Amino acid sequence: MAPSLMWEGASRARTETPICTSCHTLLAKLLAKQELQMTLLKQAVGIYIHHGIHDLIFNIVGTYETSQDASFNKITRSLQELQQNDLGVKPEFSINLSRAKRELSQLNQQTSPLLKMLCLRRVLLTATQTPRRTMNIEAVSADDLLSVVLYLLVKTEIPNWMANMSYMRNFSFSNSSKNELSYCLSTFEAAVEYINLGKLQNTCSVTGELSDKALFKERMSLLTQNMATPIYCLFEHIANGNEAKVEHLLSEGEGDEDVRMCHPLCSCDLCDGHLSGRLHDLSIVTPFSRDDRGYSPLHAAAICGQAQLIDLLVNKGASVNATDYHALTPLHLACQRGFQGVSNTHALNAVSISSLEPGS
Amino acid sequence: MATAGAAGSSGRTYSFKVVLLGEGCVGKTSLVLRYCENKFNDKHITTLQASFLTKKLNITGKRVNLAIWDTAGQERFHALGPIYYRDSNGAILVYDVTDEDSFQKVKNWVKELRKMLGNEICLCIVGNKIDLDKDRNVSVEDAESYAESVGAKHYHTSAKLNKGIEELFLDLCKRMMETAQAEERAKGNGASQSASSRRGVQIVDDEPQATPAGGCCSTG
Repeated sequence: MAPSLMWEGASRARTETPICTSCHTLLAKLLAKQELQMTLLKQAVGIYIHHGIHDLIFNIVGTYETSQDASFNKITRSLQELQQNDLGVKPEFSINLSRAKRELSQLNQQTSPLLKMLCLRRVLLTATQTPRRTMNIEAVSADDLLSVVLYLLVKTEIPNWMANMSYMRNFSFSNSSKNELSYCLSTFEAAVEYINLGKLQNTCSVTGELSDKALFKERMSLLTQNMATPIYCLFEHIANGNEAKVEHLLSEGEGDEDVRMCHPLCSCDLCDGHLSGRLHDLSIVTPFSRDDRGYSPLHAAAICGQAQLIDLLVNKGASVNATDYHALTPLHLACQRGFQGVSNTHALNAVSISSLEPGS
Repeated sequence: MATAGAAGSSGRTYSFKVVLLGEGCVGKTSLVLRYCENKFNDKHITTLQASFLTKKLNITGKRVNLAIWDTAGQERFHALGPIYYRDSNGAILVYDVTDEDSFQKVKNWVKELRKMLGNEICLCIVGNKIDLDKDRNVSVEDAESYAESVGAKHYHTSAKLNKGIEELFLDLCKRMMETAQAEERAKGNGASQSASSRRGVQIVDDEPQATPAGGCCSTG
């Protein structure tokens, strides 16, 4: 504050007293000639001073932005499965992306806003450069650049994007708001904003679910000869998130049970036969039914990210501790896929610790 | 670059930021590449230069640094506009004369810019691709009367034939200089200058400034 006030005072004094004018004009002319040197000097001083106080300032900024960062990271984690073409990244750039990612991972080692911005610029240049003369990348438009940056933001694990952004925006003193560096910064800002707006999540939940469903079907067709087995139907409804159909299928099974037993705890041969038969009878589905991989309906719901079905299934008596043939519980699968909505449901978190430990 | 913050308040070097807005494939990139590098559909341009370009001009003895920002034109990125066009002195809104939709998009942009940035920003509405005049779908009268109604200027260009582009940027620069000078005068009349937008040291020249006459020359 103090220096700017001082300059304010100085400029006012100058306009009022003509004596100062001539020497000021001289200085102005001198400075205009040495514009470039002056800029460099300012940048050097900026970098030097920022380097000295970086840890202090950046920690404070980090603290301010903690909650923002957390929510941003939550979003990017759930987007991990996005592929280049989902984001509209042009195939010409894919060859550069791993190098660009490496450049970007240097971001947190930079100790001043200017260095950080230079790092971003290097990232963009790396991402869009032509490696060989034979590869033609036509003029890169802002759209191309933005989709590349979106991909990098999702795939590079920098935990404190918001802190970095705010640090660069607010603490870069010698940088004009109109040069190339600020264009780079704006592009990254735009990408961060785009992710924060949740626009990618829509594309993800659509494409992600679809691809999951396709994958599911593929696996099912490999493993199950009879595509129309009830468990497959049930799993498909779960994958589609069709709550009514799932409930309907499961309650059908329940209805039968009561009719066939002598009494609920009966253990006569006939009822035992019924019970064990039911477990092996593929035509009836229960919340305990398993498919060829040991997946219960709860596993299927977890894989497909159908959070709203979890509660339904648990209410129907599905076991949250059930493990598939790889000893994975539904909670494992949901976490693997990054479905936070699923892994945060209370029902799933009631899982017992011992079943989470593989091999137990 | 030394004149950070408020554009051209040093009176010697103006630095202006111009944003390019318009739907995808109306030829924004071609337009600006043609202007800055005199290239059309050249395959060997490397990268960033196409989305961020600079041009140095000399207009009536005043140095002008023009920074031209390409913006994301795809519909899905529409909400990100403000990040690109904040602090800009001028906007070039490009539509394709063969594409009625792209002209509608321009109208939306104009509304948004006027709402967000007020009247300080100089608007240019540009009908590109006049080499395809036989397929024209936006009538000249419509476009020009619309431009007039919103206080913008209308131009016809062809990046392919290199028509009308120099004029467009030169006119825009002159208008931005006038706006900047008017702003400066207004500031000079006020007792104190606003220090909020200033970063770092600013040297203000006290010599009276000649307002630009008619003639001008563009170098480079």
